[in-house]
Amino acid sequence: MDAQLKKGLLELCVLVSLKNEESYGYKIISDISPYVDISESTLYPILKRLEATGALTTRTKEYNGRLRKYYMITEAGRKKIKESLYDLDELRRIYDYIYREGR
Amino acid sequence: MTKYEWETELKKNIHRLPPDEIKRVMEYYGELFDDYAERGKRETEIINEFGNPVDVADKILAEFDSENAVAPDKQTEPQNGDAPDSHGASPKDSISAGVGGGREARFADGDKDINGGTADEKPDEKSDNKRGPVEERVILFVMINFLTGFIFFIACAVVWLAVCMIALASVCVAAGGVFTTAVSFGPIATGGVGSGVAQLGIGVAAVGLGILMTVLSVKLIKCCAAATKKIFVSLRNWFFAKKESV
Repeated sequence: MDAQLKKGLLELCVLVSLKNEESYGYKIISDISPYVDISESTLYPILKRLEATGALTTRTKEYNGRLRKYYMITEAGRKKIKESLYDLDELRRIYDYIYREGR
Repeated sequence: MTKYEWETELKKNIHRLPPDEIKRVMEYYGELFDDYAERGKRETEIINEFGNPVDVADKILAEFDSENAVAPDKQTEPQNGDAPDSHGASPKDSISAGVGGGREARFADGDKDINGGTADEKPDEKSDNKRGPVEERVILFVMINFLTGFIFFIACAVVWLAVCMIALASVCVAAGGVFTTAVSFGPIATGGVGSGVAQLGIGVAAVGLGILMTVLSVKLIKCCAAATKKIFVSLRNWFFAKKESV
């Protein structure tokens, strides 16, 4: 898949996984893995960029005697999900076309 | 390889990053390691999952470099990653960039069209593909484009006309110099050496001056072209900024 496209989609997947509750690295990966291949080293820059663009915030909480970084979606992040749904409609039409006619 | 060795190797390879970035990376992987271990994975399994620490480091460095090198030119992101996708581009932009040349390419063509006067094309293209609040932005974009487009177009025409006239003048000076030089040999040959040589001198000087002027005016034309492009780009950036913030 086109690298840029996948990157954008992965960012959305991460945001979506945060939509209902805060999450942390391992959990994000395990939530998304059934749908898309994502490695730890791929997730790291995605989380970094999403934080830089204000789509999520982080906080560190103690868990089982160690510190864990939790990620929470922001209003801006929710807005990004909503706006991307328009693009996804187009994406699905394109996908259907290619899948139908390309076989 | 042990966990310690893996982490050491990683840290070694990212040592040129700022300390807080290194800390962030090590904490990220340390936390992941603990989470995997907690769920029963063995040390070697986990570092296999993470992959080669040098590769991981390379990826981190590449991403870091691109994020910090290409900051300003956010929205003019090209397709398919020939410049890295650093620009804080939102997921939405990335998708559009991937999905059929998205808005970027259309705007590129649209901007060129403005110069030719057919700015009308853009709103039609855009409004076909977007709905809702985006329509407001489209109208705003078109209006601003018409306003600045016209003024800009007139200003551009004037500047370019002036520049071309300078270029033309340079060529004339040079040509005139050549003729003067050629004609000067007449008087020299027929005995009027004084005036002949003077004319020769003037002719040669004019040629030199003309060539210099031509070179300078070519440079001037190039500068105008670059400035024109820059203004288009920053106008486009500004419109995108409006879109993002609305």
